[in-house]
Amino acid sequence: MSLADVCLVGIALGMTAYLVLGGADFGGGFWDLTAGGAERGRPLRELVHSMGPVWETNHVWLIFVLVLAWTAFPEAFGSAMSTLYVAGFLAVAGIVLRGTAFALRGQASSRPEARLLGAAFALSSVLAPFCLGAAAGGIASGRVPVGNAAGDPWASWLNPASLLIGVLAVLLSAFLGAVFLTADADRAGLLELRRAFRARTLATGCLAGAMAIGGLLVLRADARSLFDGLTSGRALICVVLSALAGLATLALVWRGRFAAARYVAAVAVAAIAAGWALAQYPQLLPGELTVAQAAAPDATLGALLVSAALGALTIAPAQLALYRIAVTGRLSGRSETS
Amino acid sequence: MHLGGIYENGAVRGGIELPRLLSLLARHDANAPIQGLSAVPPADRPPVNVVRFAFQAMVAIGTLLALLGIAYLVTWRRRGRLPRSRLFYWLVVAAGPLSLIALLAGWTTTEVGRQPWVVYGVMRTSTGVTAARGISVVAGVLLAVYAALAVAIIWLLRRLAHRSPQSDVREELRLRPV
Repeated sequence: MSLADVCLVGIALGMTAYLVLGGADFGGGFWDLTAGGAERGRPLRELVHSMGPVWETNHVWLIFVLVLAWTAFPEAFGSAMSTLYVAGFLAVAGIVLRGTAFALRGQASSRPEARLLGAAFALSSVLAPFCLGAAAGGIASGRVPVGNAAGDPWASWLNPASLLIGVLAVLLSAFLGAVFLTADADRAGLLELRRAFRARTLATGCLAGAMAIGGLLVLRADARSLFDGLTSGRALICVVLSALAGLATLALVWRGRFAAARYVAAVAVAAIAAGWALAQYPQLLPGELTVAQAAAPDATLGALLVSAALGALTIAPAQLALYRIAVTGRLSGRSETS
Repeated sequence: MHLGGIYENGAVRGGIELPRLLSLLARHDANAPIQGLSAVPPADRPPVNVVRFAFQAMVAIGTLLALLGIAYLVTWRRRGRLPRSRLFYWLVVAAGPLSLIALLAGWTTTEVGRQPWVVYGVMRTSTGVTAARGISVVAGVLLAVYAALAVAIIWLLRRLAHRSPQSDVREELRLRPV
């Protein structure tokens, strides 16, 4: 395994973390958007907002992936960014608006203010994952040529494969968000909300699964090399693993094992990211650039990996503590006294 | 070395000239030679006045802030009380925005000072820039988004400032589980 491969693994891991943890956050916004009128949707929204402390820290993963990508594979990064800039810009605008709306909405003093901020929060929660997914679809379907803005700024992310992966990203976010919120509602003893999110988990899980399987046909027609990669070798193992984990999540949620379902759902989504990476390997920009061709010199990669490891050592304990609070509702392993 | 003034046709006009000081600052030797801008080909020179003005603004503000601190410490040590002049408190109020301006001026110094290179000596800014069309639209929308954010933040800060701090404390005490 070359240094470039190690960097690629780092990128894939960061992307997986963002997909799972960031996805659950975006998914919360999706359920906010679809919760219905102000009165009817209030309890549901209050639960969504109780996820508070984890919001926005997940963007650490996105930044990690971007820094690794532009340092380790500058030419591929430059080509992708200059071609996919419309999708990238919309995703960033969504992320910025989402964070702001979330921070400000607690301060809203009137109904119209709260409604405006709530709408901005919920809409940007859907916009951001869609655009990121569509951009990934543009890369995976070989629509990013090497060069400065060499690809089509619109067709590169508005095409069958991109639309499929963008919608799938929104659905998977909604699915993860529903799984996490079901467990939250269960822990808080909110039976009514638990029932509501359990139904949403089962519905979006089935929908996302059907979409993923149907999507393979879209990929077969639109991005043949990606389809061939996904349906052979190690990538196929990941695809099958993802399908099995997805089914297992539905079974666990069905049977009321909400806490365990979160981890299995994370595996289902993570396996998709791993499957994409393996399906493409060793191509980085399919048909244009391999990982080895795109890699920066070894001195750069070595320095990058050392600094990434030091950064991980600094940030991992804080992140772990935060996720622990978010997932178990308490800081230490001991049981709550209150 | 010159304080203030404007750079025109290869020389500084209207500034206060301080001979040998730059040699002393840069090389710790009043007689050391300093390589000047005249040694750089004109095509490789940055916009000199922007860099000069930004750098001098940063140094001037930094010096003012340091003097403000010293003035406070001296008054406190010698008189055992806070300064009484209105000017001092006006400067303290101004110190907040000024420090932000100094920060931006320092950034401007390094970024504009590096031009026309984006990676010094390796890549020109003109070759590093994206070839994508419509970048002005993207920049314009981004500017509008951040302008809206600025308005929202000011609105939020004003609202927080109008709320009495005591009511918050009471609310927290009430909410704390016993």
